[in-house]
Amino acid sequence: MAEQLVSLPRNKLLALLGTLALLLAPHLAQMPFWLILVTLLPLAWRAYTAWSGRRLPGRAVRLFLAGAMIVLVFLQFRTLVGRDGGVVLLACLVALKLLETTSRRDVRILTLLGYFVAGTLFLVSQSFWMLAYVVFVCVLLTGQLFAWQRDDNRFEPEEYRRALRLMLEGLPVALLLFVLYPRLATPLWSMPADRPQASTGIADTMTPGSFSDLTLDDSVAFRVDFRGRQPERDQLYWRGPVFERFDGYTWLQREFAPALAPKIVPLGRTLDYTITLEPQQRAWLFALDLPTRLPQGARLTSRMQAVYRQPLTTRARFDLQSATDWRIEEDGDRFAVTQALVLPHTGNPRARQLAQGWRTLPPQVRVARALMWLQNNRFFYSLAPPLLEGADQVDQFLFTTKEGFCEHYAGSFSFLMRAAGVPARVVGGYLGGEYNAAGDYWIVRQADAHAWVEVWLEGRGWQRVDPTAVVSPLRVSSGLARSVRDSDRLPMLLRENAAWLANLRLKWDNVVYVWDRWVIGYDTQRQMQLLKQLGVDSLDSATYLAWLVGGFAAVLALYTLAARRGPRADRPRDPAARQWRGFLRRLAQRGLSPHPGEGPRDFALRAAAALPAQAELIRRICNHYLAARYGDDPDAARQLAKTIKTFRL
Amino acid sequence: MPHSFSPALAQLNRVILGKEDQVRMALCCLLARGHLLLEDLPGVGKTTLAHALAATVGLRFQRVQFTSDLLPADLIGVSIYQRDTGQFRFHHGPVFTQVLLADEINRAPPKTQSALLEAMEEQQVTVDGTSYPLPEPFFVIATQNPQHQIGTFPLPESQLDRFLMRLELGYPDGAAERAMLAGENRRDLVAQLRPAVEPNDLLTAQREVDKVHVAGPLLDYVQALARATRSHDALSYGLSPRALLGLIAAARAWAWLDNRDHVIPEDVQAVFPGVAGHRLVQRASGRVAPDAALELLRAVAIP
Repeated sequence: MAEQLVSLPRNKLLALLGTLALLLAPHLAQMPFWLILVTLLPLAWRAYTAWSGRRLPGRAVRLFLAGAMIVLVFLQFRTLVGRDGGVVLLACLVALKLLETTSRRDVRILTLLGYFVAGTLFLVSQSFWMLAYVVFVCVLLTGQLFAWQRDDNRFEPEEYRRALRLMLEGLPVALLLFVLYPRLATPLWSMPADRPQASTGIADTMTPGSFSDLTLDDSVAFRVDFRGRQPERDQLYWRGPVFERFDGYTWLQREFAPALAPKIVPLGRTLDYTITLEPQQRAWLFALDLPTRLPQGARLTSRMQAVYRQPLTTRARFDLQSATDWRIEEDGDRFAVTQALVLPHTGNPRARQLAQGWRTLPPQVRVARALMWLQNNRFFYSLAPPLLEGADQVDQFLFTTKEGFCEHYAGSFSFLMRAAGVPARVVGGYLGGEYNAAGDYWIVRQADAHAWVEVWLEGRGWQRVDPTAVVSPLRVSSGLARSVRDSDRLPMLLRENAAWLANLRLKWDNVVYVWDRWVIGYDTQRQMQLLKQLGVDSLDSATYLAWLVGGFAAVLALYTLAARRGPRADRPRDPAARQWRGFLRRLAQRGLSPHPGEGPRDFALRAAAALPAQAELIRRICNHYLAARYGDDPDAARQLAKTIKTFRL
Repeated sequence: MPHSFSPALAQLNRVILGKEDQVRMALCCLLARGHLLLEDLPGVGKTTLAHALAATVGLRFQRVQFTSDLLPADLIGVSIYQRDTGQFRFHHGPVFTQVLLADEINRAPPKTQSALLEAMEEQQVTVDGTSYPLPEPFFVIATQNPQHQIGTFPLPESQLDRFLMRLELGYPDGAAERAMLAGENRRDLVAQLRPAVEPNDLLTAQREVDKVHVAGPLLDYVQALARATRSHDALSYGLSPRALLGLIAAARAWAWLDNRDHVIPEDVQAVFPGVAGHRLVQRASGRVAPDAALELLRAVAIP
């Protein structure tokens, strides 16, 4: 074993170790600390033995390490297979394999394993960056495979260039396969969200602070493409969960909503749009208030919330239609209306007392009165309102602190309405968004989370009332950034003074969006859409076969053509030959070009005779060329370039 | 710095008038450790060239006139029984020399021809199971009359291949011929020649020639020429790998004689007719086609 060890060139082995470290890095980021140590140990050990020439550990040590890895992985993931456990185990064992890599055959196996690990990196993330990273690592692996193919110890950067060229040459085939190869309707393994993010997104309950916390989160909730008519900013109420039960502190969704959804009749023109939702734990579609047409698999609840039939744990795209102006018909859910009057029996006496005073007015006027009261009592819109503690939080907010975020206003306003005898409920969702001119779409971030109120008026049904708009009209018309005093609490990208950064971010967001839409989002359905445009009705049809075969034939023809033209014939690799060719081109302008079998020196003599003024220079250029191309002088090429530069016709 | 052989070249050109190219090629052949075949009519100076070359380089010289009754033993030597010791003793033949002039080689029967060619290839002769090494350097200059003359045994291609170069001398031009006629007797001149180089100079020069750099693009050119001979419609055979090795060796020597440490395409072109001419056989006539070499040189592009 020791003899074989010597035969593996150190430089190539260390390069392979480095590449494997790069490969394992994204996996390591997912591992707990001690598992990282166990994985890095074989790498470091192998690097040390390569460096010092010492022996590799024996079988017992390797077996012990393998056992330790398996146990640790099992303890961490409670399984040895599957997306997380299996991949981490693979990464560990690839690292371990290093400790018994003593021959070129082992190296080859390791490299092939490396390609496999590179594939599993897409289980960590499917972002554009990850693709770039994987391609980079694969170029390294392939280049090293070339280098290992040589018997000597030399390792030239040329190998990487060859690898890169090979990958580029493979690109047309990869594209063809990507477009035409049948996509799997469901992946071989389920792909849950990149990482469960309990903290982000709108929760299914609302307490004071639950929305203002989201304003610190500038991650994208969803992106929206409007087709045709663009909406006004103050119409962008993205409807989420409806909170109907109030227990004195928290607003909750009702456990079940058995009634049928009301019929929404659009008034005026509707908006058609596509929404691309980032992974979430729930099935909420966040349709624009209110949706008139839903995609397949989605339904409208009796609370007029669009939900999908299963949680949207992966990125998903839906085509929707909404009306910003509507009339509700056939709302048979009277139960919901009566529920929207229920309040806890006790608590918040001052708010109740205030609302009692409006009871004599018609319901519509009560709403207006309450809004007016908010407007005239010096309320502030703030991301960092004073903490509300103990019982009677509505009273505290309305009469003491008077500073709050949307959930404070929405919650208190609903309380006042119910106390005044007007059915009211809180609606969660997002307000506004950011228009990305680079890609002509809207980005809605978690920071855009918002809560507003719906009141039920006899004869008109549920009507949207946004108390926040009364306190801070800018929040609705201009977005969050312009509506708060303490803008330093805002996420970096929403701040006004970071305009250039925000602009850059928008451009990048567009790249990501295109990537998500056309690469990640290219699923069975979209493939069939595309294939239909190519005249393919089913994957069994002859047309499909024709496209497949024709596509490959075209790619092959492309390769053949490229090989025939060849960069070699077109453009010499040798810099001296390139220089000389340029020189010949310039002489050709004077009608001087070499005959097929005429040597450079003979030609130079002829040219010198034809151009006596340049004879000496031509002779020198020729000598430098001959020395550079046929001689053993590494300096001659530089001399040649220098001399040719002085040549003027 | 001029190489150590420029005085030798000058001296040869004083004796052999108007044949600078052939003289240079002959010297080049010697430096490349090859053997030389001179083919031309009688009386154009083949023997004089061989003799002058040997004298100028300071090598021992032997001349053997090949005739139809020349036997291998006449050339190589023979073991003769010694009555006083009761043993056979080998008497060295004329082949044991440094420069051997095999005059009119195509007049000897094939058996004798092949004995010589074997000696050329192996640098030694074997008689009765004992090998006797030939001196170094060992340089054979064979002369041959044009094959259509009667009473000749033409050398087969395989044996022609053993000669690095084949040269034709041709008639001298008018001025050179006039100078020759007016001047001293050539034989006397040759007899008076003193070596123009030191005894070890030739071996040193041969080693230097080996070190002349041959770059990749030049090998590309040599291979392109070889491909052209092999795919040529009018030729029966292309150049053998041995011929290509010889071509490169000769081109090295030519570059060395030109005071260069690397071979350029012109060197290859200079020696190509001499090296390839006798190896290219016309398909139609079955004769060697020296002109084909020139034609190829004009046609094959230099990479």
